Amino acid sequence: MYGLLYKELVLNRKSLFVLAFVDIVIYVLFFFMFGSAVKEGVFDESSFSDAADIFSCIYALLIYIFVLIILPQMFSTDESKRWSSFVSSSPLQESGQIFSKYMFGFIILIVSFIWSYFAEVIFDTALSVYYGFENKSLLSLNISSAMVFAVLFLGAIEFPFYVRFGSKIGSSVKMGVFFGIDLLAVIYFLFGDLSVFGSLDSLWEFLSEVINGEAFGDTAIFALSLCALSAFGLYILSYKISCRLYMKGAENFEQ
Amino acid sequence: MNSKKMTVIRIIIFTVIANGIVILAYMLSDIFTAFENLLTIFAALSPAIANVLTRLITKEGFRNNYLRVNLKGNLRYYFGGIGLAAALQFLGAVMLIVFLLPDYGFKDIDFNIGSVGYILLSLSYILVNFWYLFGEEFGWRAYLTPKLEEVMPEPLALIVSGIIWGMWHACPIAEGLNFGFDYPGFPYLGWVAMCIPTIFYGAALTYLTKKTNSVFPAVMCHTAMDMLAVLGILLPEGADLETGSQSFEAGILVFIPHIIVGAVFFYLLCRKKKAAEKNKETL
Repeated sequence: MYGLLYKELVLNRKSLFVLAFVDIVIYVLFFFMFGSAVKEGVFDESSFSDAADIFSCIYALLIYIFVLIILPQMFSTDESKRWSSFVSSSPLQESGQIFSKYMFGFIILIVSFIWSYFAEVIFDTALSVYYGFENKSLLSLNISSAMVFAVLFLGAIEFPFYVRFGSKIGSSVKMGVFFGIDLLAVIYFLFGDLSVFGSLDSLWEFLSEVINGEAFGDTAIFALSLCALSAFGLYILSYKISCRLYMKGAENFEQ
Repeated sequence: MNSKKMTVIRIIIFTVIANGIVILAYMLSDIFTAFENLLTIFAALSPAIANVLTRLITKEGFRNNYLRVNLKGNLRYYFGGIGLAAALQFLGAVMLIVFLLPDYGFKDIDFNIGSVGYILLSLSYILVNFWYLFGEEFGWRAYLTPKLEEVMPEPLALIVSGIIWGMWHACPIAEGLNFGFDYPGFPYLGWVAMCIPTIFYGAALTYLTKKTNSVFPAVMCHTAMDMLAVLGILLPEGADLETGSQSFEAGILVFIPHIIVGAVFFYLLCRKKKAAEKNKETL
């Protein structure tokens, strides 16, 4: 099992390296952008703190969007009839092969969360040391936590399609999910309440309440908690489904 | 050098590094407040750091690291650990209500769909926050306790491990953790008081580790314990929490269930060791 996990790490090391490199570059760029803005007197202490929070939240979202792009690649690397025959005849069988994929995906998610946690803390510390403004809110951790469950949920839906139909068709499922989300957003922008978009201050106030959970009533909190708990359960169910579909999907692989 | 002597040296090095990092982190965070968050993380991960550094310094290698997940046949210990933490936190909240909030009863508990939602959300956060408590358990359960068991009888190993773990909390207790500030003998009495639940709760965590040969059930149990501190929202609405939450009495009351339940695991571990030794003699 650990051999298969090591294989995933080696095969996907370039993508992981790019992810880590891009993360660092974004933070360094923003660090110097903040520096320029502080030198020009754009920020006072409270607006600096708000700006740092906005950046941290956007950064947290970006990390998980990158993770969503990278994760399905681990299926495409093993789309070979020869490999699927080999692994199904080994003691680990197809369940071990699929387990290594799902476990690798989960490990990447947790590592991303830890990375975003450390990145936020280091970033806030560096801003405090160099520019004198303290920002210890760690607001982006709420977004990070939510994104872990969101990616687990999306992975639970799309991974069986990757296993059964291959990465080309499987990726269209993800496109369909994002298209659905975009459609909902368009409908909301056409017919929904847009008063929060009236000014940047009202928008940020609304977003802060959402991120801190203050915008939600008791029922919404309960529903969110059920969604979070069920995301992991769905991920496990998805693994079971993928185990059953693996050999059928392997028939469509190239030699 | 014989292996027992080497093990004692490793225990000493581990303890010095783990506690040294915490003391250094707290001292530096008083001076460099900008680094407070970063230093707190290093303090929390100090047992894991001590595990790795001790192995490197003493050229021990990384065998017997308890890092295998060992899910097969052990799911009951994973979920049991989380259930144990939930039960202990719930009993702690009950103790507070019964002894510190006599003007309120169970009918006053603020149990609505929102509070249930927060509790369930905290349970789900175990999944993303377990790495934080992995930093502790990878030191205490995956290294210190097995090493102590090599050089002393199991009951003594559990007591010493619990005392080292309890004293590791010395700096945060000196800053008011668990017991507040307003008690006689602050913070020394708080340090002593912290060692008692850590001995018995440590026994429960050691039991989980030994049953599964993995540190992760203990990690899950400890994470659930910290995440489910949110059970305090069950305290009656309007209850005076000044005496309820950050006082010596509150700290002791919350830990009583830990001690009672942990004593059961303490007994089970010692009994198991005695049975194994008896079998060995018979053979």
